[in-house]
Amino acid sequence: MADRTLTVNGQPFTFNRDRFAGVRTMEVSQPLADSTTKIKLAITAVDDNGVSMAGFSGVYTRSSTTSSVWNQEGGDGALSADSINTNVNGSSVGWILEDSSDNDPYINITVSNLPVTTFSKALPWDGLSAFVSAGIVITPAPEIVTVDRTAQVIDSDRKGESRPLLSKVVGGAAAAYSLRDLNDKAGNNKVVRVRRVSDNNEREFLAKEVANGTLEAFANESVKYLDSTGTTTKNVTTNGITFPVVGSSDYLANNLSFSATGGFNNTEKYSFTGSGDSHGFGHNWYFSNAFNVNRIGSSAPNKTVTVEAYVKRTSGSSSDNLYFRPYATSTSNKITVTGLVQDEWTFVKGTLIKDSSVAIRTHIQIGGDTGVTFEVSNIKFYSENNDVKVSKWYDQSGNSKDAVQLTATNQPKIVSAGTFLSELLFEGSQVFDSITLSASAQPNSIVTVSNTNVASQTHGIYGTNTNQAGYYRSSNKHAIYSTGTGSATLEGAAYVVDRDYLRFDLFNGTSSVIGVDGTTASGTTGVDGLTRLDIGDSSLSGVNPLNGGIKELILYTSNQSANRPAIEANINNQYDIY
Amino acid sequence: MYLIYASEEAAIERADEEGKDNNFSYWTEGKGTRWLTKPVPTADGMWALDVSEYDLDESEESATVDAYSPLEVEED
Repeated sequence: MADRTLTVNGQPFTFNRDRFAGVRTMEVSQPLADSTTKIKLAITAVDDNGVSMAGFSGVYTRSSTTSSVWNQEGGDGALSADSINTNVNGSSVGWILEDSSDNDPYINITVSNLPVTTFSKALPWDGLSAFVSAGIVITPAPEIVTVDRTAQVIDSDRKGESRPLLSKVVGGAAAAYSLRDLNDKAGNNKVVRVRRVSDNNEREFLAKEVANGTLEAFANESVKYLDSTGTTTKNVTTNGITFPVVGSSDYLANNLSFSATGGFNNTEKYSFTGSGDSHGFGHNWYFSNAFNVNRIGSSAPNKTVTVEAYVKRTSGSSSDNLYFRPYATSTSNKITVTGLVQDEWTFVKGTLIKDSSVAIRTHIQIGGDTGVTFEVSNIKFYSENNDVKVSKWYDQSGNSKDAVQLTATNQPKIVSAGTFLSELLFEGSQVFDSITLSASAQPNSIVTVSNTNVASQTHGIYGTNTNQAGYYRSSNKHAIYSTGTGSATLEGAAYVVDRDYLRFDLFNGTSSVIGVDGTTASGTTGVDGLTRLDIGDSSLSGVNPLNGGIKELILYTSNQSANRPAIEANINNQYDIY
Repeated sequence: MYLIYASEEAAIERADEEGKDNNFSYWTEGKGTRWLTKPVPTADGMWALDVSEYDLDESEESATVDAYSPLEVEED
């Protein structure tokens, strides 16, 4: 199309109105916003030792819009929100820019007078002037946008509502598991029952609720898991879970006492004498296991807990501090309450981060400056970006062979730190074991979509009796194995970590097949039939539980070789694997 | 950290107690999650229960062991 020139206020402006075909890339910059995940840092700062940090200039990204950790692309620079301190004047966010390889050099940047109360809301551009003062200029990072105007060749069904359902492509599965609905285009069938780790609340989800964000919203509800308000006992019970108070023993020098009255609104109160900020376990009091991974979830770091309480200083001066901090953390990850007016209740709110040392940070200590007396009332802990695990994966074959895991630590994860994973994540000790199936002689066909996070080790995707399995083998190849006459391992294509594979495994004696992304290898394995199903592991000796994800598993007690192209086309259209 | 039990029943009983303390849905709705951890058989015919995240009483604390011998496995 020809250029057009317009005259505005006497000035000519020429517009290029060419359209193009094919693929073209463009560089664009978007304004900084809550949804921004990429920024550019121009750094002239030096650390306290005079070491320049200019080498850490560049583009920084974060993993999600709720993350406050920004990592340098192609470098070791890391910018992260390290603390949020709340007092009567508002909040201040402490940022650290550092060499993440060894934490040296580093500089601290403090941004004050912010409304934020959680790390997920902490944004570096809310304090541009503070960063500029520290020698850091933050600007939007240019993004490369690819515009593809190539005419599309339609060679398969469109995704979404017009796609044929797998059950219509080929039915008759003995068991079928997926997060999509294999039988109903509208997705109105239940696919999972899940447990939210922070409060053990369980509910079932339809396929459409998994797809439309309802599940993720469930994970991201702020969950109040501890509330002392109105308790008449020292130990607090919330959501049926009791948190015993530890303090005021010979070991704990804080004179802790409890009263069911006298607190905020004449409810409960905990009174104690501070023993200083630098002391550890023995000088503060806490609710036992209130910062435990069982409550917070294991997806550390960057799990956030919001703390609310009414606090009162009953001696000392307004410069004396009260603290909430995770046990055994550095002093930066804490809530410091200062400026308290003596003998007046003050509402405080702040956030703490569960760091990577999940095993030992099991408590939130409450303490204060040495010799100063405090009272605390109406204490509430909220878990924010929650983990969700799967206690039941519904069978969609119509045979009611639901995969059930009653043990919490063995349940695979479906939402990690508030982010939907689009798969069931098995982390080395999770499995749906011993789903009883009707015994079936070979041939048997098992179709899976899975990935592994570990190379050069043997990890199972599934097992179908005590000595039969499909797995990732230590040889870095896909494999199946069965006992019985001709027992042998049949290897398929090679694999790499963190990549989905569509597998079609046929157990059929000397005519067995292992198909990977549409490419098959044939050979021999044992002739034993199947009796059961394990997902995420197998009971085959030497096969370890999966460290990776499973999106779909469909089992047929028949030879589905003739239907393999149709099955693979349907699944690959869903997941875009190859 | 494990507690070792002579029988599966005794180990399950302790696992049930912890499951109730965690307010798992099996104990409130009659379905769903029942245990935090489940006992596993050991090489010497006992049952090991992972109690790393359990609230233990003093006698249990003193009875914990750091490891146990699992049933042996072989390479395929």
